Amino acid sequence: MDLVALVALTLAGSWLAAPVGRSAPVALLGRLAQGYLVGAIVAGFVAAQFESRGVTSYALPLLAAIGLAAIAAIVRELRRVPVSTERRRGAALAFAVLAVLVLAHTLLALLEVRERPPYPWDAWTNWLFRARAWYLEPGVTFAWAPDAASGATALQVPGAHYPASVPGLVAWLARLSGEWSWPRLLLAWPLAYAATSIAVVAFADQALRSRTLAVIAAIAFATAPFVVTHAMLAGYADLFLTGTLVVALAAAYEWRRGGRLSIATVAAFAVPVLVKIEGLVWIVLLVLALALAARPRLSAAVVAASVLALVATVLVLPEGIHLFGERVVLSADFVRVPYLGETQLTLNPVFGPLVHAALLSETFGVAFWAIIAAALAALPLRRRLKAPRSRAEREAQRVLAIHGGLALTFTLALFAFTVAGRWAVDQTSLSRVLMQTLPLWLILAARVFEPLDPRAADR
Amino acid sequence: MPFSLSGSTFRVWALRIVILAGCAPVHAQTLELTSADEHIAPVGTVAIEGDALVLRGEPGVEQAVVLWPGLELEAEGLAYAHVDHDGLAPSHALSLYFRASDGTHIVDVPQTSGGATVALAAAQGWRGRITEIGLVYGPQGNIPTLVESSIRVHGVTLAPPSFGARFAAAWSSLWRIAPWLGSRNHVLARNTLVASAGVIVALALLAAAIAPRRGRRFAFTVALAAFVLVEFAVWRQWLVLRDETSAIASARAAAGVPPELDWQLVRFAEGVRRHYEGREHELAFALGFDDSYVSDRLRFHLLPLRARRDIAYVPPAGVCLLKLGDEEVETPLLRRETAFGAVVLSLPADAGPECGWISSRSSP
Repeated sequence: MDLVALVALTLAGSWLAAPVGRSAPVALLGRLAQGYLVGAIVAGFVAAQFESRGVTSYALPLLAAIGLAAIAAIVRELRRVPVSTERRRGAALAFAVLAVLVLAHTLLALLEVRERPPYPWDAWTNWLFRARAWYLEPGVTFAWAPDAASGATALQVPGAHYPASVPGLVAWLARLSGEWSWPRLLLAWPLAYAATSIAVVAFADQALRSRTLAVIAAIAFATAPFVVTHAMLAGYADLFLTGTLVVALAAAYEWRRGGRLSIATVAAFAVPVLVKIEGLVWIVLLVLALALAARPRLSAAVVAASVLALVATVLVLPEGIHLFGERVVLSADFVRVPYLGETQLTLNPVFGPLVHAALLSETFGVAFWAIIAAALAALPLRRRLKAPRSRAEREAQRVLAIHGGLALTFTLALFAFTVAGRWAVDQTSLSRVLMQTLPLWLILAARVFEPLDPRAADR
Repeated sequence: MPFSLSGSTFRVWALRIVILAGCAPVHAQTLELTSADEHIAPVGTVAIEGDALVLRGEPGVEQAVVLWPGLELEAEGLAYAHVDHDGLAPSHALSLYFRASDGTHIVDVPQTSGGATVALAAAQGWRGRITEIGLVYGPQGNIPTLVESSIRVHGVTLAPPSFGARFAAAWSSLWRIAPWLGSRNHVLARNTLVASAGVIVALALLAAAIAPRRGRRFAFTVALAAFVLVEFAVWRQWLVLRDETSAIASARAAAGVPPELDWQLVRFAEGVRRHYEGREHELAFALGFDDSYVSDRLRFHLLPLRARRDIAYVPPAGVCLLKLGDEEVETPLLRRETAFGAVVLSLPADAGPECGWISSRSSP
C-alpha cells in the first residue's frame, strides 16, 4: 500500500506542478517529478496534523483522497494536447546521458537504503525519530527540553520546532505498509533524488535557450556527490527542500513569464516552508526577488532601507529595535524573529570552510568550479548574451538572477555573521545550504555560456 | 572488489624506478620489513603464510598489531613508507605505527584496492631516531563488522625522498577509498583529484569563453574529460563502499544480529523495551554517557520509551526513573559490554517506593 501511495501522490501532486519543459516527454516527466516532491510534502503535512493529534485512522482515507486526485490527473494527462516537440540531436544525446546517470545513481541509492538502516545523524535524532515515535505512540508530543509548559511527558527532540511534513510522510507510509520497515520507508529518498534531478532539467529546459546547456546544468546537479549522498544516506529533509525550491522557482518563473498567478503558484511557494525552516527564508528571498524584478527602482530603495536599518540598529539605537512585545528584536548583538528564533550576531571566519566545502572536497564535485568559471566568463561573454525578446521573459530571467544574488548574500551573511558559523566549520549546515541553492546557481551559470551554443534557440 | 586497479603494482614499480634511477644513494637507505624479519604481535593474531603476514583481530579485541622492534633508523633519510598488502576488509583501517625518540606515533595509510604509499613528515612525529615500526589494523571505530577481517601484508618499504616516491604517495592519495567520512552528516572528504579536476574544468570553460570557435571544442573536450575523471573516481569509490555495505549486511544477517552499525545497542534497547512493554508512561530514562552518540542512539532505539539526555533529570510525579550510563554501579539492573563501552541500567538509590516493583522484576 505504501508503494501505491508513492505513485498516487506523484500523480496527485502534478496538479500543483509548473508547466515547464520544451518537449512533451520532458514536460511530462517534469510534471511528475514536481508532483512527487509537492505531493510527498503536502501528504506528509496532512498526515502530521492527524499524527500529532493521535488520530491513526486517517491513513486510508488520505490515500483515497490522494488516489482520486491521481485519477483526475491521469484523465487530465490523457486529454492534454501535446506540445510541439523540438528535436535536436545534441540535446537528445545529452538527455540520454542524464537519464543514464540519474538512473544509475537512483539504483545505487535504492540498493544502499535497502541494506543500511537510518544512518545520518539528524535522521535518527530528528526527522525519523519523530516519525518512529508517532508510529509507536500516536499523538506523542515533542519538545526541545520537555517541561511543565510543553508537557512533561513530551519526547525530547532537538528539532522539535522544525516542520513535521517529512516525519508525517514517513509515519503515514509506515501505517499504510502496516509495519516499521526502514528499507521500504527510506525508498522516499532515492525517489526524491530522481524527482529533484528531473525537476531541475525540466525547469532549466524552460528557462534556458540552450537545451544542451540545460541538461549539462542538470547533470552537474545530479552527479554532485553531496546530492547523491543525501539519497544514499537517507533520512534528511534537505533533498525534499531542494526539490520543492526548484518547484517554487519554476512556478515563480512561469508566473512572471505568463503573467498568470494561479493557486498552484501560491501552493508551490508554500510547500518549501512546510519542509524546513530554511524554506521560509528562501521563499521570502524569492518574493523579494519577484518584487525587485517587477519594480527595479525598488532595488535602490531596499538597499538604502537595509543600510539605514543597519546603521540605526548598530549606531543610533544601541539598545536596538524591540517590537511586538519583544517578539521581534533587532539589535547589534542579536536578531529575534518569530519562527526563526534568536540569532546571535558574531563575525565568523567562513571563507575557509566555504572554499573547502564548495571547491576542495568531493562534496560538490566540479559544480562550483564551473559556477566560478561562469562568473568570470560573464564579463567577456556579456555582449554576446541575447536578452529574451519578450518583456515578461526578461522579467522572469531577472527574478532568477536577483534571487541568485540574494541567496548568495544570505548564505554568506548567515554563516559569517550568525552563530550558524559554528556549523560551517564542520561543513554540515554550510554544505546543506549550498545544496539547496545549487540548482539555481547552475542554471544561472549555464545561462552565461549560452552564447557558446550555436544551437541555442531564440525564445 | 569492483574496479580493482593494480595500484599496488604501480606504486611498487614507481618506488623501484627511483631506486634504479640512482638519483640518490637509495640502496643504502631503503629498508624493507617483511615476514622474514623479526617481529612481534602484541595485539590480535599475526600469522606467516608464504611470504605474507596475515593480521587478524579476535572477537572482543578487534585490532591486530604487528611490530618490528629493535631498529636504528634515522628518520631524516626516509620520507615515504609503502605498505604492500592485498586490500583491506570492509570498513577496516590500516595505520603505520612508529616509535621515535619523543614517543610513539600513528600515521593513517590510505585505503586503496591494494597497497599504498604514505608520506612521513616531521609534523607527524617522523624525526630523530626511529626504533620501532609497526602496523595497526582493525575495524573503523573498533566496531565489529562480523565479516572476514584479515589482511595479507607482504611488507613495509621505507624509501628516501624522491620524485617517484612522492608520485606514488600522490597516486595512493588520489585513488584512496574514503570512508563515509563524517557521513552521519553527509560530509565528504577533501580530495586533491576532485579539486584538481575542478581547476581544469574552470580554466577550460574560461578558455572556451574567450577562444575562437576551433579552440572552443578542444577546451570543452578538456572540461568533459576532467568531469568524466571525477565521475569515474567517485563511482569507483561508491561501488567499493557499496560492496562493503553489502558484505557487512550479509555477515550481520548470517549472524542473526541487527544490521545497524551499533547492533549491540539495538539489542540492549530491544531487551529493555520488551521488559517494560506497555508501561511507556510509567517510566523515564535519564541518560549519562561520556559519548553523546551513545545517548542519542539509545534514545532512538528505546522508543517509545522516554529517555532524556540529562542524568540529573527529575521526572514528573508518578513516573519511575531509571538511569542508563557508562558508570559502574554496585547493583546494576542490567549491564552490557559493547563496542561503545559499558552500558549500565540502574535504579537510583533514592528511588521512591512506587518504583520498587521495577527492581523486583526479572532482568531483561
